[in-house]
Amino acid sequence: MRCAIVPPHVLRHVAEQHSDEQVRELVQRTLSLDHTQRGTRAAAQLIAEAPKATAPAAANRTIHDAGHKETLPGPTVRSEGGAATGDQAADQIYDWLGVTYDFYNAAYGRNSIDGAGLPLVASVHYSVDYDNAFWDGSQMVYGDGDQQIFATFTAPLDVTGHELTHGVTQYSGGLEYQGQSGALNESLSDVFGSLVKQYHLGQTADQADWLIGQGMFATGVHGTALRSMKAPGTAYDDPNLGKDPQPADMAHYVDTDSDNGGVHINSGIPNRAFYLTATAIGGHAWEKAGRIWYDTITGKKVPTTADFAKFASMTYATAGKLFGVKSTESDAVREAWSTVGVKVA
Amino acid sequence: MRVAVTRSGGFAGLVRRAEVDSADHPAVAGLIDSVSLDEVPRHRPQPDRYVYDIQIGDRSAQVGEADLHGPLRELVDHVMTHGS
Repeated sequence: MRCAIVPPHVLRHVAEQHSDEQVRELVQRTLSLDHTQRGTRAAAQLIAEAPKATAPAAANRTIHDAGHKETLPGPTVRSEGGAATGDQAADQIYDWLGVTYDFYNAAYGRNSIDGAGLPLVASVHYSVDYDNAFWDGSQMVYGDGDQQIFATFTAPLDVTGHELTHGVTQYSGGLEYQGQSGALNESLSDVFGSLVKQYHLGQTADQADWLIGQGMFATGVHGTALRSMKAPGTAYDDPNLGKDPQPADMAHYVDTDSDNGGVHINSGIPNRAFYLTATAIGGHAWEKAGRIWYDTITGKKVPTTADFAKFASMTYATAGKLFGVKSTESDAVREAWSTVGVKVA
Repeated sequence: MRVAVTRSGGFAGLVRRAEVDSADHPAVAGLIDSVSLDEVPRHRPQPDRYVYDIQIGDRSAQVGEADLHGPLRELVDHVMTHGS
């Protein structure tokens, strides 16, 4: 470090202005070396100052088999790093938990559901002919489907992404699972469920299908998926199930007492706002539109009773912070909410 | 007596409805006597769990899947399986 005592601004001047090319080169190399070492020192200091990690930044999965009973979690069939079980549902969920973990970690630097390495626990084969999957506050639970309406809940990746995101929302302060805040809670799970799938497939916003639960229906059901973020209300139309009831805008908001105030119905409105934002911005949806939504919900400032208008205004504020108030991204957010009938304040 | 069950919610958000007349279903008639809709816990919404709206005659209650136990669970299962 011969040059250590020479201040960097002087070195920079020499590197740019010295008449001898060899000297300029030498000094430039010294500068870049010094810069690297400064970087290393700064990083070492950051590591030393960082709170002691409670868990390594890697998925820690445990899969249980509920054995068609309703007692959770049931016996362990596969732990992190363990060999495949041969049970299709158990092995599929092991993989999908890994993909979802990787997505949150790679896209947003998040270490698991709680951001602090929470072990990922799932039970498969829950109950008999059970047409559902859910996050129970501490673990994922999957039924097998009754094979009449639903063929599977474990095969589509977005189901796992959806359930795990309920955990992320919970650890971010939560959104009351009732009315508009409940529909936002649902929508966030659909948004990041779809983004996990897009990330896994390497798709851009215009390549994605924007469907939730594609491939879940049993043979014979008239429908491609459960929900469409691109065109809410068009996912299925079946003689037994009826028609997809999701509204695409506020003018068609559904007031109901069932489903906790229609949380799986009115989620179509914020779902479409996200789709419109992502396609207006273009590219990989998780990078910009996803970042705006992610920073908004994990910023711990969204009230637990937030309505669509409140959340919309907060996404617009986040976009302004990330990309600038007059940026394409901010305009895309405001336009998207406006199209679905939600005014950004 | 008319007993009706509407199940909503779940990941799919599909609504299923079924009802029976207890006069045609002795099992239901027996179960009605052992349940009290006034005593079910207040509904606590939980992500992607089923919500049951249960009507027995002119009484009704909303019960979350996680709180559906014992004779009320048996009653709901019977109506959903055998009702129309």
